[in-house]
This record gives sequence, C-alpha cells and structure tokens, in this order.
Amino acid sequence: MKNIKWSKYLWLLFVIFACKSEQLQLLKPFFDDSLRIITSHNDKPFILLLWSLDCPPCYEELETIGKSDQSQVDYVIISTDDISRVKEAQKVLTDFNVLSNDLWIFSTESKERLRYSIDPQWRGELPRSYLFKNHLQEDFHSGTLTKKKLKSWIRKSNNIVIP
Amino acid sequence: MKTLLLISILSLSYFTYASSNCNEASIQCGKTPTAIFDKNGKLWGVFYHEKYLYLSHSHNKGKSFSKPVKINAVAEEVYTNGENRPKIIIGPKQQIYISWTAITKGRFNGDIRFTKSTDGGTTFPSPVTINDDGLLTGHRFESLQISKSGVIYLIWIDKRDKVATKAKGQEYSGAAIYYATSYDNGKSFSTNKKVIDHTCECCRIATTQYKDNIVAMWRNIYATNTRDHALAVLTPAKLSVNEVSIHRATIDNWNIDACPHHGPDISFSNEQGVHMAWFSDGSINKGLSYAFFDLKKNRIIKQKNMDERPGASHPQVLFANDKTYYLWKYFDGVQTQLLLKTSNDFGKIWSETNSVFATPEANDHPFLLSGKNKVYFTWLAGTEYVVKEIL
Repeated sequence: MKNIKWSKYLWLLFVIFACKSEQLQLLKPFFDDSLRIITSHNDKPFILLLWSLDCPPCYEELETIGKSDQSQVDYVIISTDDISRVKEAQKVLTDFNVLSNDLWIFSTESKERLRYSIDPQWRGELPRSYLFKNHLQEDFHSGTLTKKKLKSWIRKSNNIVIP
Repeated sequence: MKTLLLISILSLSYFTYASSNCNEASIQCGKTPTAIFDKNGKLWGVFYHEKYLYLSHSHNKGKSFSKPVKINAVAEEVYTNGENRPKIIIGPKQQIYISWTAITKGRFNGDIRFTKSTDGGTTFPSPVTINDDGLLTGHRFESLQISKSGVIYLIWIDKRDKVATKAKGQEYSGAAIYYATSYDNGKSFSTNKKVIDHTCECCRIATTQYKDNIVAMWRNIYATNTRDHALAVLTPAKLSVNEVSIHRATIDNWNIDACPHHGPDISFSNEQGVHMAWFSDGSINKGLSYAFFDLKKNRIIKQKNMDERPGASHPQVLFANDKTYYLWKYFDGVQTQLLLKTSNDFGKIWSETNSVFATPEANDHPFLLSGKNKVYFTWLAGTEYVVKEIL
C-alpha cells in the first residue's frame, strides 16, 4: 500500500515537471480514488468530460467547449491516454482553449479499474460525459456533447433559464 | 527555481525507479506484443519498444524468448495505442511478414508499413509503405492476412476520400477501407483498392483465411451514425473486375457519434462460413455477442449474447480442431479476468464460462492462437507475457 502512495506522489511530480517545462496547464494523474476526491471537494455542480488523443469526435467536443463561455459551469476533464502522453494531451487542451484548472490523465493503473471507478456501467466509448450535482451523478452522455445538450446541462447546473 | 530543480531531480529518480521495473526491449516489457505459431510449433512474437519493432521467438511455447532482433533499422514512431498494434504472419516457406502503422505528421495520420524476413527472422530489409496515394493523411489500423496459396493481404482504414470530399467543402462521415495484395511473397504489392466508404475510424479490422481469398469484418457506419458491422470476401486486388460484395454482419442498431475503440474478431470455420465475435452497445443488442455468418446464404445464424455486463470487453473467437473458442476480458471491480466458452457443434451449444486467468494489473487485449493441434491464449498482464494452452 505504501508503494502505491509513493508511486502516486512520484507520478504527480512527473506531470508537474512535464507541465512546467512547457508552461502548460497541469494534468494530474487520475487514480481509482480520484473521482471520490473530486466529487467530495466540489460543492458546485460540474461537467465531467472523458476524452483521448486517439478519438476524433473528442476533438469536436473540446472545440465546442473551448468556444463556449466556460465561466457558466465548472469542468473536470479527464484524458484516458497513457500518462506518458501527458504533454500531447496538454497541448491539445491549450490549442482548443480549454480553460478548466481541473485537468486529469489516466495513471498507470489498469484502465478497466479507472473506468470502473468513474462509472461501472460505462463500456469505454469516447467521448463520454457526466453532469454532477450535489456530489452525485445527475446525467450522462455517450458520444459528442452537442451544443444543445451542453446548454441543457448548464441550465440544470445553474437552475436558470439561458435564452 | 529551487522547487523546479527539486521536481526535476525527483522526476528523474522516478524514471530510474520505473526503468528498474521494466524498461528493456523484451516481449514482456515492450508494447503491444503480438504472436503467432509457425507450423513447427515455434512461437514468434513482435513488439514495439522506443521507436523500434522487435522480433523474438520461443521454442518452449512462451516460457522463454530469444534475444530480440530489430526489425526497422531506422527509428520510427509506431501506433501502439487502442486497437493499433504490429502484426505478424508466417508464409508457406517460413517467411516472416510484419506490418505496422507508422505515425506521420499531424493528427490521426499514419502510413501502412511492411517488411519481411526470408532467413528465419534474422534480417529484415527496409520497410515499404503500402498506401499509394502519397497523401499525408490517415492510413491506420492495418490488418495482415495470408491466403492458403500464399497471397498476402493488407487491409486498413483510410482517410484519402475524406480529404478529397472535404476539399470540395462537403462532409464525409467516418473513413474508408482500402486493401492491397502481394502475389510474390511480399516483394511487390498491387495498387490500393477501395472496399467501402464510411466506416468507423478507430476499430481494428478482423480477417481470416477463406479458400484462396480472405474474409474481413469491420465496424461500419450505416445510415447517419449506426456503428454496426459489415463483412466481405476479398479476392486478390489485382483482379479489378471483381466487385467486393459487402454484407451486413451485425444488427445491433448502435447509433453513436463516438469512438468505440472496440473492433470485432472472426475465424474461418468451413466453406459454409465464419465465426464472429463482437461488441456493441446498441438498442437491439448490448455487450459481447457471437454469431455464425453463413457465406453461402449471406445470413447471420446462431446469434448469442455471450456477456452483456459492462465490464466485458475485447472478445476473440477461434475455430480450431473442430472446436470453437470464445475468449474475452471481464473487469469485476477488483481484477480483470479472462473468460472462456467453447462449443463442439459450430456455435450451437456453448460450455459454461470458465475463468482462465486474472490480473489486477494494467493489461493488453488477449488473443487466441492455434499451434500444432493445440489452442493457446496470449495476454500481456502487468509485466508478464502469459502464453497458456487451453485444455
């Protein structure tokens, strides 16, 4: 168990180093208890997005997010790529103007375990997204998050009518 | 600045720590090991490690492997993620054929690469690029197959038509499938021939020998975004008169604008048809399925849902020694299990599910292999490359 904690600490240092060297935003390594920490620390509703470098529709989704008013809702964005590709993932997020500070990338743990920790019902298809409210999963979506769906989630998260 | 220095030192020490665990050019430490038995029962495995592909062999069914031989003399980046991995097949005169997808500049771009060894895997000439359009675009997810008489087939997902259509300002959903064949043991390949437009762009293509042709199965895009499978018998691409006849192979009605990263598998049974294994999350059918495709009547028969649980993935099917084997992964919340069902009557009745291996570690896709009247599975689980006979 100690080894796991040590390994987590070292991975965090690795990504900090990778990010700092390029002046990019930090992507934290995502472990099987990370979502629990994210949900318990986020009192406000948030949208969780899962994407990967090898998923063409994910780029469309990131583009939609990047062009939207990102102050309307909080985003937690998780890349399911190997952590060795952290710099590539960061570059894509920067290129698409993704402003969230809550960025993650899958750690070296079994991908199945990490997927299961997010949602045991998710079969791994990407992009996959969730709306979290009151620390709980309120809704999910498989496939590209359309502008319409995004709008409805923002409305739900804020409980306000957006024209 | 001091903090940055400390971070650098600690990060470097982590790399040293990681290296000591597994960072050598070996089948268990390399990426995406892919193996095949030759007719003498020798196991050949190809894998990727830091810009080079390597070949290694085993005389004792995977207990130990030979010192790896470098396949590409010049370093190149290779796709080893998701459904991309190098491929290996053995020719009738023990030629060793290897293919892979090289990463080229830009997003999702690649070239299909091929090389062969005619001296028992000792040397490989410089690889050649098989896609012949000269475009910097997506040519990826290649599959390598050989017909009974030794015709080599390479089939892949290709975005040249997407590029051409977009240049006209029009939309093009998904990608296309192209293939090329070689009649001269890989010395030369035919020009590229298109199989179909509008296929899913991120799932492997399954192939199997079929008489002197091959059968290919892939995730297609039907209507706007229905990602069910199609199947076709491919004849040598040189015979341009032959139109490819394409059949709907699965009817799950999976409408999704996403990347499943989850291709099918297929295995030749007899002249009547092929066994199929696939994944879907459609409205008609969810999870992992089996069916037999009757190539005489072009119809799907004996369809069965093998495991509909969300943790079930990456099914493999193999027909060998009059028996059909169906293998898949299942994550139970704690570990990933390899599960197996078998059928003695061409897929009508299936055995109970047996767990044949399990790991809590990160793991690769599993594979079924036949070798000298026996059937094996291979699986990279953590840093162990498992090769086991299925009894």
